[in-house]
Amino acid sequence: MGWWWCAAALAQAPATAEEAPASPEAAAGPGASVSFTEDLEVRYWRLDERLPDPSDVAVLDYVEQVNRLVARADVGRWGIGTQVDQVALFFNRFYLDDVLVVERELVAPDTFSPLPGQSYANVEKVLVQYSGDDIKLQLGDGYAAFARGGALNLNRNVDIDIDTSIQGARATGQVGRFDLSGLIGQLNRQQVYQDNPNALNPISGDRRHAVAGVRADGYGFGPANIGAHGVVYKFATEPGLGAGFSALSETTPTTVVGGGNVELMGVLGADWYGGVDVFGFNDAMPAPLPDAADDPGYAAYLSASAYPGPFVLLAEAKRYYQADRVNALLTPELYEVAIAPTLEYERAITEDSAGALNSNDIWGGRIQLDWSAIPATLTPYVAVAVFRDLDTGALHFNDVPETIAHPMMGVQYTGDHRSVLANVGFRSDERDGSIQGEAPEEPSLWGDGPRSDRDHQLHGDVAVDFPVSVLQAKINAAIEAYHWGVNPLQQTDYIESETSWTLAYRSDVALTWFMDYTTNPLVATTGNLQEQLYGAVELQVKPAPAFTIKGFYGAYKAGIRCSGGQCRLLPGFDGARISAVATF
Amino acid sequence: MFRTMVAATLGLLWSVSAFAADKAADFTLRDINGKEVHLHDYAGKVVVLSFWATWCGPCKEEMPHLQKMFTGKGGDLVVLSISTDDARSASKVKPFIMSQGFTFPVLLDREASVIGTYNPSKTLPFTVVVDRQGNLAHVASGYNPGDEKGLETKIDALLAAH
Repeated sequence: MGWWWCAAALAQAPATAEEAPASPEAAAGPGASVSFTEDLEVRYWRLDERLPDPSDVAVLDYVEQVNRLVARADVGRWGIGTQVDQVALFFNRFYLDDVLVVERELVAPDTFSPLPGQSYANVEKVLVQYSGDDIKLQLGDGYAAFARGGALNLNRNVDIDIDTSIQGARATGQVGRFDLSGLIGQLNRQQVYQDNPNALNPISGDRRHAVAGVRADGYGFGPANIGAHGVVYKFATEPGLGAGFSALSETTPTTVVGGGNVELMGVLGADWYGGVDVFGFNDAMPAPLPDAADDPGYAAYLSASAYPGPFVLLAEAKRYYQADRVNALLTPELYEVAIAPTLEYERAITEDSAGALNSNDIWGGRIQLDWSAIPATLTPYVAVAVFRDLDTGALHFNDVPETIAHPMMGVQYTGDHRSVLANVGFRSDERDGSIQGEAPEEPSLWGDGPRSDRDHQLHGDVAVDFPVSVLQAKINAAIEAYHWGVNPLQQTDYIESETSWTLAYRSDVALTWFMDYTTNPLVATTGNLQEQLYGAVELQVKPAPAFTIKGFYGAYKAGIRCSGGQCRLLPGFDGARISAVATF
Repeated sequence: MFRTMVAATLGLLWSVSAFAADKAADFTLRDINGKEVHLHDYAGKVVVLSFWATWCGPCKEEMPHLQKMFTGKGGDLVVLSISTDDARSASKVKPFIMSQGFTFPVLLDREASVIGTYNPSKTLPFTVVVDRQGNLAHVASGYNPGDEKGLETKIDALLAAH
């Protein structure tokens, strides 16, 4: 493990002073930079499981070590980079009466691993790029998004541990007022998860789907900026390094997307954006709306923002029909290739609202009004979103269309070493007047009586920062209460919360106590303090501004989490972990 | 084979570091009004690159301090506020900036290409200070109240150096 410290010493060699560049070329000039980001984490997973004989409680704990090294060098107009991931399991065999009862499999038998035993390593990303005056060429792994993401939106999502890149070639150039871009490659999903357990499913390679796209952006046509694009996806049906390129010449599930957008700046006192994508699917593509398998899909998005006096008004509208069908084959691989704006508040979300987030037949809008009461200091706001979800398949709890209303209000205050970010909201999902099954009379958070066609969700978030002598206190709390109407999946109301209390000395040292609570009977974890209560403590130390060490002991609950239009059921954690992240 | 590839890649990177002057990598981005901005436009000035996103709480705490530095230290200091909000959230960036009354330039890094160059782990907020010679002078991840004092001290020293 010590070799990367040697790299740090090399990379931190004193910089040579240079004269101020006299031209843009000199600014990009002969100088060079090298950076390394090293992320090492060791996790002790505590997993007590009861065997068929109630007197035997098997302690199936194990240790997982994960390492990610990202290296990047830029010399003049050239840049190269790589990312190497490695994972290993320890103490992973469990015997009962000399019989091996459990051994988690890290790597599937037919998958190549360059490391012996219960360990695996992979060069996840490689990149070479050249940046000229009007052209940029890129070979290897990169990310791409066209317009608002409805046709192509592949980016790393740190929040929920998703990292899929396009491995291939990309060229971008400038011709007059136009930025032009073309790309072709295979999708490269990360094999090693950094935050989630790698022992849940054996590492077995990925299906490398093919993607090709072109995009043109034009700027400065009066108040207008314009853009157009086309994207083709060819989905591979088998794993393999060259599966995507093979798929280009085969009849595989295929989606073709074409779209365009217009942006108007300062017209009629507002900034406007409108974009449309149209999707075509071949017969091999799964059809989430079976009755509409032959229909093309489309995604239309419109936004307008105005700034009258101390107010800022943002209005957004969407109409998506079979737009998420492009992601239909990617569910087992836990990522999406195209995600248009959802307009949803993703902080408080359920399996049901996640269904609306990825709906294949939905329209609606959201309006937010901010008031700059004290510029850069105090900004209260109100917002309301309304959606009409006509999709009744997939993860939806409803078998009839529903109308969703979601008003919210909040405030942002950022004073001198004091800040408050807070909001409350109420979401109502009302189905179209068809009680699904029996409507039981039972106590609930909202009182006794027969359940209705409505699901209700009340949520609030607050983050407070304030000084305590030479320390800084931070309190984060989020609470959600759910009341369910009659639906086939969830009938028990519940409350859950996540809180943290931190005392920090600048950024150097921070001590945090976390506490989760949930009464959800369907949650996949059990609390370590009580059945419904989870506690954990974390110590964070920063020996240098870009070097963080963390130690964590305790547990947190499992649950669904959505970020960037992508939702995952994340497993909980019980145990201890230590991590070190450094950029140098 | 694998070890050879890793060793060769790291060897190449280290050989580059042997003559590295920690030069800030040049980049080109569009601002929230569609105007093209290059890092080399600001050659000879002290430049703060502040990476943030509309969903990032600590970023929102740090930004008023950057605004004070931007308006209080004259034209030799440039603050380039770089939004890493992805394509879906692009419509939210300008309204947020307008609601706060910030006046520093705000650039859009929708594909995370620039933050990927400076901070491959893409954690936020992330702050880079570039000196008058175009060299990396300071790199910091995260923000806690009080951190701005250290940043300001660093910037003042760089502004005083000619």
